[in-house]
Amino acid sequence: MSTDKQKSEPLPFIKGENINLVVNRSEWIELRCKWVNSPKNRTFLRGPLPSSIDQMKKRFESRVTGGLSEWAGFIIYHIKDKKPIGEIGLSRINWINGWANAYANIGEMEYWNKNIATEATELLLKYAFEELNLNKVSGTVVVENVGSWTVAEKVGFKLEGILREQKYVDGVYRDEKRYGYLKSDWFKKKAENNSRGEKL
Amino acid sequence: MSKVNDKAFIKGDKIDLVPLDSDHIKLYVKWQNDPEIRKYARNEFPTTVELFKKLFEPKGWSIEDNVHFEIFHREDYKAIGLAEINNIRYAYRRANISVTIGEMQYWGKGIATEAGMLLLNYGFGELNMYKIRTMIYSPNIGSWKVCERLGMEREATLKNNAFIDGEYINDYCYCIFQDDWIIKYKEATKK
Repeated sequence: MSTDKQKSEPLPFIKGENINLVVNRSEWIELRCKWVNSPKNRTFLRGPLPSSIDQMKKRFESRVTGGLSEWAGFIIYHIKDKKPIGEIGLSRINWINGWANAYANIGEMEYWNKNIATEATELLLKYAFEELNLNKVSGTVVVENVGSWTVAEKVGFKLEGILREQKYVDGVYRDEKRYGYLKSDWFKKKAENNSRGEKL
Repeated sequence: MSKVNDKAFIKGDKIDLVPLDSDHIKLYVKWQNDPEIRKYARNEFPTTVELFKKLFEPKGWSIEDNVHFEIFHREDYKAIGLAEINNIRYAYRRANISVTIGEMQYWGKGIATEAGMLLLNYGFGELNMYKIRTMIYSPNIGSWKVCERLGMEREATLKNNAFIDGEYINDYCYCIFQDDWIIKYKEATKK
């Protein structure tokens, strides 16, 4: 019995208010597969190719290696509802340039527009700048993906430019907005929030 | 005039830092095991050729926590030692450096200082390290003088931290920070 209980308890790696960023586990592969294959979800995500459970498994296992990681991914776990609802992480970490690409996907759509992505992104940025000591985190969002870039701007990402016709989505080449967040932006925001008595 | 060395990864004055050469493994292993060379080099156990070969094997991930070079004498056109950056912690932007002059006739000629300088240029200028450290046994006066010539500061003494020739000895921790190095480096290149 106790082992079942242990299995159901996720391992929080970064603690938030409504969500925790928890360590990924193999039994969530089917769920993650559902998220990335769902038509509404994937429109602006990974493109048009389906991900099979076997492929996801392989990808999961290939990341269980030693050495310095170029990737740090978490599952977004809803504390009150006790369930995994999405994914977030840093990919393509370049340790010498101190740079990484941020990605996020709230897979369970009933949690959209509830500030979950905002909270998760802030936790991720705190991790990137205060723990991994990175200098810059970037993100790209298709212009039509208003929900995602609204989150990016709310959190304080700065628009750096438009990548023209960067993604082919639903029969049309679409522009992408390229956002960047500097370590100095983060600490400036943190100092401002501190002076207002708010915690970041 | 020194000859042109087309193997150089980092060009120096008397020496270049070049990639390790698997044809030179026997030479490297000779240095690692030589009693006089290894006395202060923390090699208490014998290094076999096979063990050293492991350095050349791909580890399966793309970025490693160490970078090894051979020290190549430009004028005499031969390998004379090893220089490395190791224990790289990218999140802390910190690493250690180590220099071994394996051919003893090159001791006391400023070679180690030059190798140290090239490693610091590389570590701070290319790998974007914030702090670089090295540990020196207290009786190894030659090496800690090299550190001081490089502008490194002795930040700590670890008491009775090692055991050499039947005695416990202190270990000195030397360090230097990126900002300080860049200032020194700019001054030096101006001259």
